[in-house]
Amino acid sequence: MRTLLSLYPQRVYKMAYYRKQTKNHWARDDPGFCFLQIIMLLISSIAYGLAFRVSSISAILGFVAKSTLINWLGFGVVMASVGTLLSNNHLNQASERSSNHVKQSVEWLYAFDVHCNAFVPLFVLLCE
Amino acid sequence: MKRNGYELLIFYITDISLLRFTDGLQFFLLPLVLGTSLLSLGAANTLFAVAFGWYFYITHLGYRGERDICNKKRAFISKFNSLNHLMSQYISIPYNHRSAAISIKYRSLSIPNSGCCSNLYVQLCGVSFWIGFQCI
Repeated sequence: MRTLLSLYPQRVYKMAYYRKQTKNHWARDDPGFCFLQIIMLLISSIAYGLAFRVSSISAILGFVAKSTLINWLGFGVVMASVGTLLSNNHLNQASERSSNHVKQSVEWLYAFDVHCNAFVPLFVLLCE
Repeated sequence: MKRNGYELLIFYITDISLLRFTDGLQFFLLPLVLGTSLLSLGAANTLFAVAFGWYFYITHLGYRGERDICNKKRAFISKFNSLNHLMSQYISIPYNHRSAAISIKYRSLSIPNSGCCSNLYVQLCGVSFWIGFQCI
């Protein structure tokens, strides 16, 4: 996470490249990173609720649900789907290469991983 | 260097607490951001612009990580370049060339890559800035 906030966030994607070389997939193995983000979103949403002196617990829970399900998950699903579709349909050049070349495609999970990576600085700055 | 479980736990907790320390710049700037002065508006807009710019930059890096995409594809580049040109002109009309300057800045950043992903994310950055300015 600190690497994503540094001036050289591309170091994170070297790990994805090594994972592709060793395990033949780009996406992370475990959803631990996602769970960590969900926990941070929960904490920050509750902190916002307390800071703005929201009277009812249901309003805080609603805000927690909105920030987790819409801002993080919904936006992530949309961005991952759009990114996967665009990159597989328009940006992939594997078909133009020789027949010996193994065709590569962008996995949806990898696209969602990219969203999770990119969400870290957005969260740190805006605390969505 | 091999570390035992306890040391790893301590490092993990330190890492998380460091992150929590920097967490939510906007939260700590709320007294400034919630104001109605020009400074508050500028600070809030800058914060959102930096956050979304950073988001799209890291997304762009993620898609550049895949070797098969992001190579040169002339038709795609020309198509999106023309769209970029149109969009930057369209955005620049109501906002006094502010967003166009941002778009040009991102375009200049993407020149060394000369890949189609860069161009694509210039579009997305432009769209996000445009939507952000519209909302604010």
